[in-house]
Amino acid sequence: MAVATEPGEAFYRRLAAHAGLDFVSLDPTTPSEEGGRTINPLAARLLSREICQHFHIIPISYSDGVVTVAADDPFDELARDMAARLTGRDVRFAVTPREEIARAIEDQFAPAPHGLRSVGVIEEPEAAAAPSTYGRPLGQVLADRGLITEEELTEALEEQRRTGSRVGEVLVHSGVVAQSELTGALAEHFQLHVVDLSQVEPDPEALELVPEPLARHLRAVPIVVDDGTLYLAISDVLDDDTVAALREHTNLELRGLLAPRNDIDELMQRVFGSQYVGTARLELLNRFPDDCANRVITGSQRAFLIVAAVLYLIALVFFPIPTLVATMASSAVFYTAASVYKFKLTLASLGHQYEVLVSDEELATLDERDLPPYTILVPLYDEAAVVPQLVAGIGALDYPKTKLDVRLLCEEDDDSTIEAIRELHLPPHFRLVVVPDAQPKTKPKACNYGLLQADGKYVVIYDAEDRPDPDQLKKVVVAYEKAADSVTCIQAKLNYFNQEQNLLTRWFAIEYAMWFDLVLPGLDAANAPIPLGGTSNHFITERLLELAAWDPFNVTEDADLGIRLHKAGYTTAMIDSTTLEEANSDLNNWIRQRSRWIKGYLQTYLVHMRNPGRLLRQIGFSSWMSFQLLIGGTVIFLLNPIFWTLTTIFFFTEAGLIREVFPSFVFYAAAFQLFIGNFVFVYLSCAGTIQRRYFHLSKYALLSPLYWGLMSIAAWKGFIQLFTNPFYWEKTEHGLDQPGAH
Amino acid sequence: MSPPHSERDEALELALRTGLSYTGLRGFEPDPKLFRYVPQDLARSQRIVPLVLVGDTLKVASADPDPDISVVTRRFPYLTVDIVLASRAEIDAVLENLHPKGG
Repeated sequence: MAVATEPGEAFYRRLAAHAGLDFVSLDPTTPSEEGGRTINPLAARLLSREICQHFHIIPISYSDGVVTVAADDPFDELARDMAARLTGRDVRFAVTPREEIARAIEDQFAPAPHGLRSVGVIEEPEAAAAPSTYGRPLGQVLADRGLITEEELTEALEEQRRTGSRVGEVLVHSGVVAQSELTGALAEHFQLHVVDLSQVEPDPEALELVPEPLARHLRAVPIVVDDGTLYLAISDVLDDDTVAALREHTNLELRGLLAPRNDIDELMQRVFGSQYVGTARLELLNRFPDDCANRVITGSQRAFLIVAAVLYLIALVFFPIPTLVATMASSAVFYTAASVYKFKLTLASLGHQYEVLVSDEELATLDERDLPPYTILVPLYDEAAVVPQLVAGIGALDYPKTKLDVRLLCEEDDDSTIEAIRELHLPPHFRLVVVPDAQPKTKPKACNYGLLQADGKYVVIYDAEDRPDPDQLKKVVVAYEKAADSVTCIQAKLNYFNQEQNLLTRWFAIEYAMWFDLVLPGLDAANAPIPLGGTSNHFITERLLELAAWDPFNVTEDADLGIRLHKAGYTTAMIDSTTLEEANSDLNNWIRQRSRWIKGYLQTYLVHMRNPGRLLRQIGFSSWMSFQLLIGGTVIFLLNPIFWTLTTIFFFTEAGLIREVFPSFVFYAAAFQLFIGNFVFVYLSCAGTIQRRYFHLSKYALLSPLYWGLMSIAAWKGFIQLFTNPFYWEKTEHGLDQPGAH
Repeated sequence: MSPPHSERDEALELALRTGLSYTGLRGFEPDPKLFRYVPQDLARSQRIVPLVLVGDTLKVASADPDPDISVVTRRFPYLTVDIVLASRAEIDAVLENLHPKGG
């Protein structure tokens, strides 16, 4: 009996339909609505030609971590198992006629044209490699090449099971295999060409084909166009959306050339550096010019201040005593209001749960395979000596290294730090980012620059000398899962490892305890904008970019960002995890740092008060008042010395003029502030230490008024600098802690 | 070699009894593509041969009126499998001539 068989394609369509799978035609003439598909040429290389030919399969797309493989037999379990093992990814089969698969294999694995070699050093995959890598997973290839021992492979496989990371990544991040060695093995495995990017200058014509933001997003650098094909440097297979985006922009066929991931980042910085700097400097200014501190005061602010000053001077000349009385009275009222507000915040914090609680059990049951990539930005300047300590601190974090993206941000002229980092030959999750020289030379500009290539779902800034709790990143991941949708920043608590070094460091520790344990929770309870601390604030990267990240012209960009987050309707939360920093132990150094903070607060105040009415509409009355009293309240430190001087003069001389400008009601208000206000602040300082269980520091809180004297010195320095050198970044020197003081 | 007369009779008798159709397989060459539906190892273990695919129905020759083809029905939920009876010897003869992997 002879059996008539259906024509090939109709049979496979039916086969797919019966199995509930997609039918895919790789015939270019088949329209997409009938199953016609173009192959993602970079996905095709996930399997070697020999494997494809042997099993009659070819990977055709890669999306959401799943590789779609065209197969003529949808239930060839051996082929499926082999494809999953060799690609290291989940595999889904689609049904395609065998003849079409054979044709596609021929097309996809055609050799690269010779013209390509003109652009630089391009290594052919090893010719003899095909049979040797045939059917072996990458880890085994590395072992067979003598790059790893069987023991290391076993450990890497165990790590892979635990974290879901790929074996190659695990081996590279643990320092067992060099990135270049992995790239070589991958090239052999996938029969791809390797490109040595250190010696390649991408063809400008090719670069023009792919807009920089797209190249940055895709981590693919166009190298050359040759015979209707665009060659891209890639470190990993590009998924279908990526390939579709590239095809749309270029109308060219695509071929990938393998290069280590960090080499691609460095090439991008080399090629697009000036554009990156432009974005880092001007993104906020271009998108939200009213929120950028590039001008200290606006024309209308200047006009307002001049008119106010002139009127004040006129009043002072014609009505000296009433004017001074009014000045003293209003100062006393503002002073009292700011103090009462802080006290109220502290009270509110007592019964308020600001922290997102993360239990040890929740951390213990966390599946590391679900952990997202995490970016750590570390701005460095002239800090070569701290680099080994920094590496140790980050190495101590309990987070899969394969999911860390640590960006060490160095200024171009900081040769010593750059050299120190290079000499350490760090594993590839440490990425040296050299920020090209451009004004303003500030930490936020460096952070913006580093953020442009950030991989992480979340991003955090640490200072070089920071010592975060090892489980901090995991706690943040859990906290984000539990927190409200609006939470965009999770702040860890800060304190100092060298708090016992001297009186200054003790005061500093007391101040931080009050700030993080009483004031910030109080602000959260009042739903008021929270000025963020300088480090250990963990952001959702996407939202940070949406807000144009940090203001490079603001010297307390963190506090400013806190206000902008609030304006955008986002909130912050806190976790019970502490980062220990180095407290400034040197008085001059401390004054420099504090003068910058106060200058930045004043900058932030002036920026957001460019249009007070609009700010009021944006954040509401209570937040607006909070902003006035807390950020605007910075002027208190400017007023303090004036009041203290007047009090001292009066004490010794009982000068009649002073008696005149302090009529009874002003006197009582000022006296209230002097005695009760100071008592309240000393009390709060003590309360902060108790809340933190820093009982040993409580007695030093009694000396806090002396600390405020220092603040006033710093405040005046910062205030004057606001007008003489507004964007100057008073660098804090680190590494002054003494061994044994920890 | 033709199968013994008695085996064909047995198969016919079984067909009559069960109400299933009967087919002879002498000189039959299966379409190798149909082994996408019935893997060769299953065909051998269950003594079945895919005969023809018409629309959504796959006709399968079997020596047993109720072979275990759960693998096929699980993999191809949108397929109807129609069993026809054939003699064991004729099925074996067809299976012996198969190439290891069809295509």
